[in-house]
Amino acid sequence: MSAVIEVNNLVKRYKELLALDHFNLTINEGEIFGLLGPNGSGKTTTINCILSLLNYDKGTIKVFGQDMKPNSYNIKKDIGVVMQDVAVFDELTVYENIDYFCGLYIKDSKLRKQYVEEAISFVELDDFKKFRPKKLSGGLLRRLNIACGIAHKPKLIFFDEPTVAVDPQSRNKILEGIIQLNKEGATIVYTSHYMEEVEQICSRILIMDKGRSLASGTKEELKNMIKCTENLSVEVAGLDDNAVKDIGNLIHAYGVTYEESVLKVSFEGGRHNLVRVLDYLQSHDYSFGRVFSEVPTLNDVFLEITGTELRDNA
Amino acid sequence: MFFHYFKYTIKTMLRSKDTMFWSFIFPVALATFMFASFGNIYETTEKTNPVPVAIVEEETNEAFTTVLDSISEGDDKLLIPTSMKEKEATKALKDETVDGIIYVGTKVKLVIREESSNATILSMFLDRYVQTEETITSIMKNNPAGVPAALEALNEEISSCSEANKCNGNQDNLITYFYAVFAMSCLFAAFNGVDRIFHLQANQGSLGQRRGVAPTHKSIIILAEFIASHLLQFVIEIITFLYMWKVLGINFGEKILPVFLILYVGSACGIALGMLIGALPKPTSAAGKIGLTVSFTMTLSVMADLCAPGIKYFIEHNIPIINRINPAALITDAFYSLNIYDTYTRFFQNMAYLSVITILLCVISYIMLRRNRYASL
Repeated sequence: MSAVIEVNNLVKRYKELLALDHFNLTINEGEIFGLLGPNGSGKTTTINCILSLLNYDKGTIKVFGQDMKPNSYNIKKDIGVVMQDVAVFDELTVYENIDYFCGLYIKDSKLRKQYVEEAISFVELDDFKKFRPKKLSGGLLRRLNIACGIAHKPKLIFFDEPTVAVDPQSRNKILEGIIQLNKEGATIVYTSHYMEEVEQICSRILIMDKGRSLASGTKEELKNMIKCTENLSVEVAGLDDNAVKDIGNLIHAYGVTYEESVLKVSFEGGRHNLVRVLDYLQSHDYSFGRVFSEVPTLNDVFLEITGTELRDNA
Repeated sequence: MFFHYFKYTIKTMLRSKDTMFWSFIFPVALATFMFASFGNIYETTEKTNPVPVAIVEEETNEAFTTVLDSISEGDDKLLIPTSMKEKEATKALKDETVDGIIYVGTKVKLVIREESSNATILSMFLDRYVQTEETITSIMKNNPAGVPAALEALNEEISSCSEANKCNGNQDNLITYFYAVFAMSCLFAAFNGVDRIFHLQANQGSLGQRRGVAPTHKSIIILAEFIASHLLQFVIEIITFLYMWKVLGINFGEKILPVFLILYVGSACGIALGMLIGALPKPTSAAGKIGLTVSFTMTLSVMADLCAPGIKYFIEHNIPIINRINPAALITDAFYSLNIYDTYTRFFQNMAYLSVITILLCVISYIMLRRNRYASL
């Protein structure tokens, strides 16, 4: 598998702020690569440097094996970008917007017309071709934004937080669309601070914070990097401090909290952890309500690496 | 590809309520309002009479006295001069028995009654005299042999005021307000220029970023947007002009064809000015750039007599270079010269200045916009 993007030792400063700190990144052809990190972690800065929109202080960036520069038009023609903010003309209709942006890449008017129609069908905006953006709902507007970025059939597509402020139905359609584009051959770079989305669609993930790469790999590889294997949550009333301490001392347990009548216990390996906790509660006459057992998420990975919750930062 | 960008630029502008309001509706409404305020004075052709003027002689100035005598005699005399003491002259001006006071000394000064319709004639006469006098003084210092030829030129220059008085233009002072409306309207094209350039820069928003990552040279898009904006603005100016000329019946004189050249170059200058403001690194926000455009274009228009006549004249006397670089002043002066002079010298001079300014604005804007990567977005 050849590398589509190679970023080496990238340093970017905004005056005193070090936005990217010797950042490295390799994205291979055919991947859906997730850049995961809280707001301000450097995801968008990384993308803008790769796209040659931003100056950077140090490092090298190669796209499709060539140095990426502002006038690298032969590289840019194969890149599609779906910005975090919707980037369309309010005065143009859905069709005209897609046609305009597709026209920045495709000169042949017949081919462009075909591509525009295909993009409209792809994002399911067929019934809204003549609508102006202001007449579209938030979800439809996001889909238009995507169509404008992918109509020219790029080989490499950047999606920068495309589901922000989108309803669940549209979010699912967007994620399904990204998977479809990948199946059709496009390499995808997907940034988000929604770990569920990244887990759902990305084949490889890089977790970043404060401009640094913290960990990368498949979601399984990332989860294997941490000691947590199971998280238990139990609704239980009136648990005293000694009981919490005892549960924390159960075999394989390594972290325990009790807040607002919810007991949370993390386990490092082991089997039957849930049974042991419930046995303890029953034997000490504590009645309990709902019980949840969860495998670790990327949030746990982030928590263990950085000591802070990904959600809290987002 | 050029036509692709051109087509969509035209579409976005035609559908933009802001663009259409400031470029078209506002100037038309302002002209209509002015026309209604001024009454029906444009329905009649005013007969031009010699201008009564008070002469206050502070020191002897034989050259000026000679010139004054030559244009105060005969059937086609330009002025009716009356020698007075200063107090007497001031009272006469206040009582409106004279339209101005000329103070004669080593330097000649003019005080005019601004609301007088003859103020323009007096101003023009004195402008010509002062300019030519300065020229002759300079020639006397550097090339005394050329003095006779210069004196002949002086005579021709001054008499051109009489010719102006005889030509069929509208010499009503109020017409300058309508000239200023065109100047303002052309400069308001700057809003369009700002808008086009603002959305082309990656550090100003997502539209700029999307276009910044495309494999299209920025200069092609800039050129398409400039030509489309200019064409649309030019058409708007023509419609505005036809409305004022044919519907309101404002007398713009007999030389109508050159008016289109003023509108063509003027609207190009407005767009170019907006492009430069759009390309400036600060202010960074759209609101800041619009604010700067409003204040700058309005200042230029006021300096070209949009609000009150006399400001342009004051500038001409004190800092004339301002009138040579103020596009609004050049536009109003081009209208004025078409209406007043038989020759096109001054008109083409104004067009040349305006064209040079437009080209300069375009070149500076392009240099600023050539930047492809930004320090921050």
